[in-house]
Amino acid sequence: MKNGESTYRRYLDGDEGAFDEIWKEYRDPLTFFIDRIVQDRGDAEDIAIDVFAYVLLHPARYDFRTSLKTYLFMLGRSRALDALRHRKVITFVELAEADRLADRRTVEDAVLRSEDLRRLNAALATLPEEMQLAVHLVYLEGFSYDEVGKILKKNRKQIDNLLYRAKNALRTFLGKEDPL
Amino acid sequence: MRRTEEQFRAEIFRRKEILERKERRRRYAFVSAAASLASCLVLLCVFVFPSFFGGNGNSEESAGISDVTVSVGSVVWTEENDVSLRAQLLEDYRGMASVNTSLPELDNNELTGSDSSVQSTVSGGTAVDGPVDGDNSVTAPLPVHREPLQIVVSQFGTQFYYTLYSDRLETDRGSVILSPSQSQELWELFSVPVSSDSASFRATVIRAESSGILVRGEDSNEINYRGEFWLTVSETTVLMRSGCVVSAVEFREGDPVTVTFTGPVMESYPMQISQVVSVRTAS
Repeated sequence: MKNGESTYRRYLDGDEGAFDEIWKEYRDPLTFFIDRIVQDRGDAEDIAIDVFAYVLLHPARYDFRTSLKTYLFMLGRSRALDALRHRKVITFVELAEADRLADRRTVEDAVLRSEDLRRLNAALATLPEEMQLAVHLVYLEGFSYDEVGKILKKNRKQIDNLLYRAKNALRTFLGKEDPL
Repeated sequence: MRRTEEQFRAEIFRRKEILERKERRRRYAFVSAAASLASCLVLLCVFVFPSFFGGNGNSEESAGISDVTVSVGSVVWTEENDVSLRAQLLEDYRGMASVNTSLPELDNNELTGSDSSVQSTVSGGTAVDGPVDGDNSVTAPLPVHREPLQIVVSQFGTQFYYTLYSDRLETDRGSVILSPSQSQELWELFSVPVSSDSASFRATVIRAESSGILVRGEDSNEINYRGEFWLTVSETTVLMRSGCVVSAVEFREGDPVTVTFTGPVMESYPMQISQVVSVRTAS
């Protein structure tokens, strides 16, 4: 899996095209992940834009200790949680709901390339949020347990436990012996 | 709607600008707050530990210039800037007096020497003329109302006496012959209307003619000195603009002036003042 560090080094060296490669590569997965937290496609895209703007403004803050994707997801998660804290509690049905659903489908299509992953994504909605995020990062984005720990700010043992319980819950929901 | 790639990219750069501005404002606010805090701490230290900053809190030095007063008759300057300016100027002349002791012969307050740079007719303490050019033509009247002026500088309990004439300054160390410009500078600083019935008010010039000046008293004045006044300018009226002696027509519309006058005010419209002592702008 391409991790983007080499592209990022080119970006630091002044290659402006490298930044475009970065955001194009991570736009959809990052938006999809943030959407899982904020449950709003438009907000998720706005937050993803903020993440890339932050990277553009402070390029030297990425220290290459983690993969670029992990770094972007860490930024995305913290901004998504900030957005949730500041979100006004207003419940109404927007006229553009159909458009938003269509948008969501577009992003999901970009990330969920197999039928199994689509079924898994549907089943994730039944899990508590933390489990959703852990499963999403491991099985939909391909992060290692350690990387997931960094993004979710948990240690390896906690991630193990989260995923163990998540798999049990999904097993019940999907009716399979081992869905993952 | 999902943004196109162009829109997404443009939005990234727009947000970057916004973030940049926010961070700049945050940094500025932080620096301002830190500077304010530092200023407060320094002030606190100066007041709480004055000796650490070079004073003992009750010496004459630490009391500062506020212990200095300069007075001419009943007029006393105590405001810090005025005092420091005037006291320093007199101190300078006092220093010069020790080396300028040769004076023209003086007789009964009347200058009779051969110094052609000054023409002065002094009689009974009132001067009417001022410095002249080499050809003896009068260039401008000095702002001399009452001559001589007795000036007293009180500094840390010690008093220094000065006597200012239109052509010289006498000190406790001797006399200093004054050039026209020196004389003008001193008289500008120290001459004050001494008439007991004189009054002053602030105004703005509306129109200036050779025979007089139309002014409007400031709204912040006492009620009697608001509205329009026609100031009749006579030969004895002192007219000063930006520190220079001028004629009436040289005042400009909008000039802020201080008007000093004696005698009655005719309550016509505009009100008329015929005995104008001086009209001065801030120098």
